[in-house]
Amino acid sequence: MSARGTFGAGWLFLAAALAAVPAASQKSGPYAYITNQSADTVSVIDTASGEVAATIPVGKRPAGVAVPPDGSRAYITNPESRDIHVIDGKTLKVTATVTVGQGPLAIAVHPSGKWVYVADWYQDVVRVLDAQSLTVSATVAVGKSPSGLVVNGKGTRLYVTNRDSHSVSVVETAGNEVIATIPTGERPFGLMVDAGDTRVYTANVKSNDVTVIDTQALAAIATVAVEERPYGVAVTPDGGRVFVTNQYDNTVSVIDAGALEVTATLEVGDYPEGILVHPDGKRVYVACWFDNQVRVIDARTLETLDTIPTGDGSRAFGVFIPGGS
Amino acid sequence: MIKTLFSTIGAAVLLAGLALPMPASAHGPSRVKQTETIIIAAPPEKVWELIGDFGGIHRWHPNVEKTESTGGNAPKATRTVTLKNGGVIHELLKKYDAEAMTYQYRITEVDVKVLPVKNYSSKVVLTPTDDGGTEVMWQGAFYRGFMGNDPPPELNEEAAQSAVSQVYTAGLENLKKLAEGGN
Repeated sequence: MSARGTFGAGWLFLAAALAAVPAASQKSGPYAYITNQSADTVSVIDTASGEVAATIPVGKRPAGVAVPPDGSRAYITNPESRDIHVIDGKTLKVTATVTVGQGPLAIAVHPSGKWVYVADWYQDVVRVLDAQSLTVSATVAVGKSPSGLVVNGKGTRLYVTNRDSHSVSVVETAGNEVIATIPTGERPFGLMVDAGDTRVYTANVKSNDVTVIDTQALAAIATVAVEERPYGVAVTPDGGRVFVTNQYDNTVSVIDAGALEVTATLEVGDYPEGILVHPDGKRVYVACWFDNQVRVIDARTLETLDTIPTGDGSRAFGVFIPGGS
Repeated sequence: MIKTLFSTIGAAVLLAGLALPMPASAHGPSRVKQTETIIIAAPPEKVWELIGDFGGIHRWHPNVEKTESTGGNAPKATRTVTLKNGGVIHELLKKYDAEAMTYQYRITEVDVKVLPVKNYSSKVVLTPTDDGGTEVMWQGAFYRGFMGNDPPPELNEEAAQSAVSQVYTAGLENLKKLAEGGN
């Protein structure tokens, strides 16, 4: 019922946009950039219409994605071809390809759009790229097999999960220096920071739980058990709800951030991986790797609003919608 | 579980022959998938009677010599599958739904010489066809046998997918023969 209501609102919005703007520059987006790992493509979903606006060929086995808040670009990592593709946010064309290290996987972009951070799975570093020149301007040594990256809203800190060191590195972006290394559960992978930069949540693949880190104390304050093989984490803009994909259970765990308890477990497609709350705070996007689709969930009612077919092996690891969290 | 994890690490390090720390599992290389389906001219109940018994894979898979199992068809049931070539695969049942005729399981331990994969999980789904038959889908998600960068050819993605495809195809073809033959 609520699904119909939300679609109704969407159509009203679209209709208003169509009436106000000439056809050539229809209001759309923001876009969700979904990496399709087995298809070597990116599906670009127009989140206003729920339609796939473009399917863009990229490098080999694309996995990571990062989009600055202004949506001007999307950065895609291709771990198998060991490079990054840059997609123009307006034309939806690839404008640059840059070879980076031995295993580029996670990627994040500074809120200013000036810096791009790339974690190298095999070399245990995060490289800082100048977004204009696309050259490496700094290299930060972190823990073993850095796997997830996220920058806080103010742009002062970069958080890195170190999968094989069971920790999070906290990097001060001004000097690109590690200021703390915080132990987590076993094999942390995806992570997210809340909008107020008060907490970081990591999905721990091996211990099947989520570590909650207080960013002021720079210490873990809680561990919340979820289901098997948690992978990605998303947080609502108000910081109240946390969503975690569980790859082996084909579910999303919903955590109440106040109580630090799982309050619901949602069935989604097979092998849910990348997950993000839309900047509107109302919708959660979940990439389902085995089912080649994106599920859209109502962040409040937790009902499934839409299932969007994408490409083979949808992964979408990172902030794949501008302003998403 | 801990024992399994350690032996996986041991195998990976031994295989690599390197002092470099190897990831225990997942995410360096890219996970791949393999799906095989077959249409069987027998009702789903009859096909399920064979393939739906987690501990009874030796009854229908031509590569399997014997199965030792615990826990029946309940989640966390285990089976140790001994192949006719001597290889052994340890597996764990994750989900089982007799009404929907589907289950999910994964490999907890296997030598890459037996099956060149890591972190293998699988799903079997039976779907009735319009004419009273059964479509059987067998799908797997797994990594190649070598978790470091630059795998040798026998442990790359193609080798992993080819091996899994052969296991599925051989099993499904024999399942079809058995289910149709009894009619």
